[in-house]
Amino acid sequence: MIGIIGAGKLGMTLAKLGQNVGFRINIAGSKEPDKIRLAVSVLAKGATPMFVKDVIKSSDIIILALPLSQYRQIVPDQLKGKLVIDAMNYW
Amino acid sequence: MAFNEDGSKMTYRESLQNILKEGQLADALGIDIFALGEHHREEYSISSPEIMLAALASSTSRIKLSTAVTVLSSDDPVRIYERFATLDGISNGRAQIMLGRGSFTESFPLFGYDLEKYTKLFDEKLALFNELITKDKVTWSGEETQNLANQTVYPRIEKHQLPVFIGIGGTPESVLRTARYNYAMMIAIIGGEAIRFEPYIELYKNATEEYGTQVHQIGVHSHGIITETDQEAYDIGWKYIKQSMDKVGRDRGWPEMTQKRYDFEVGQGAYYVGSVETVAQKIAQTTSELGIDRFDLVYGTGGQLEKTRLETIKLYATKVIPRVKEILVKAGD
Repeated sequence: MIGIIGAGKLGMTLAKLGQNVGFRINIAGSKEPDKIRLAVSVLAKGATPMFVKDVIKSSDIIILALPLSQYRQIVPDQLKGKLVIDAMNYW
Repeated sequence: MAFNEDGSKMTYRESLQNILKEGQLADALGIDIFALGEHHREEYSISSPEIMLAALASSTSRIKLSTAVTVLSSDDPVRIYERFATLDGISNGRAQIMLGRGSFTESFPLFGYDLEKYTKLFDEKLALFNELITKDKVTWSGEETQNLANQTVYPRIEKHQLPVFIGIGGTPESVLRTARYNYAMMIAIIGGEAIRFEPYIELYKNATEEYGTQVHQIGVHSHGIITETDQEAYDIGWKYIKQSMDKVGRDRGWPEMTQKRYDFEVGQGAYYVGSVETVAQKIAQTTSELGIDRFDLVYGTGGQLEKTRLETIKLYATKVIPRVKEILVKAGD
């Protein structure tokens, strides 16, 4: 199970690619899951929109795909024991 | 910014004058829209597109005059309204606006905005702009913007008829926002196959249904060079488009463009580079595959020579556009 934090251009693309090769994907934007429901239903069909905390709880691998300026939203303690892949960059 | 044939850089004055001539040529040859970007970088001469468009308003007769894009996040929606209302007046209703977050970030520090508020600035300013464009009197309380009490902004745009496009580059929220505000959508495709953007069009259409808004024009904007032969255009692009992409890439951490990548973009990807027939076939394919209403060819990238810029415009207007229409009619679109 792969969790993606960030439902923008990068997060959504990774979700789609993951779905395509058969991973189960949980994805969260910065707000409630309903805010990304429509976009996920078209751009990453099959992925499950969730709150960030639920994405972390239910996934073994967590990909960080949020804008770098928002990285303080991540609570490091919640990620304890998970494999975290940082896909954020300066841009 | 174009270069002279001897390799020297044009002055900004020459560049601005040339762009006006290009706009006049586009009008004379029957191109529908002339759209100018807003950039605050050394290699661009236009930071104030509306002033250029105003000059064109008085020296052209029928072409639509648009920005592509106006960087809303670092601008003032009230002043934008005033400038475009003015442009619309002097051009006799030929103004359009394309709003976006821009593909560069120089304008944030330049005008005193915090880049960390990138999303918030755009959201709030678009909300205010929408009030201004749809209502005669606006009451507004802003965090990143001014407060207004029952305010009318002048001059007025007649019947609120200013076409508004939002320029998007693949951020899902930008697509939703465009649908939510009931605006037209311009997709900037600077790399990859056009068909890859089909889901964004589906998302836009689904979102208009969900929000109870309308599907407006959908356009695509991509780079192109048109010359007599495929090889000539290919060679120009390999020098200038590569130069431009590599320069941006150095700031953003992209690798340099390889010839393999360039060949892909010219073949199946986002570059409309070649002879009349090659470019026309490709534009027709993108238009029918995506079902779009408008195609904007971005010319002159990377400091191309003035003669290349003019040749691209001439061939686009006189040969490519009629040929695209012919192909699409034959295909029954």
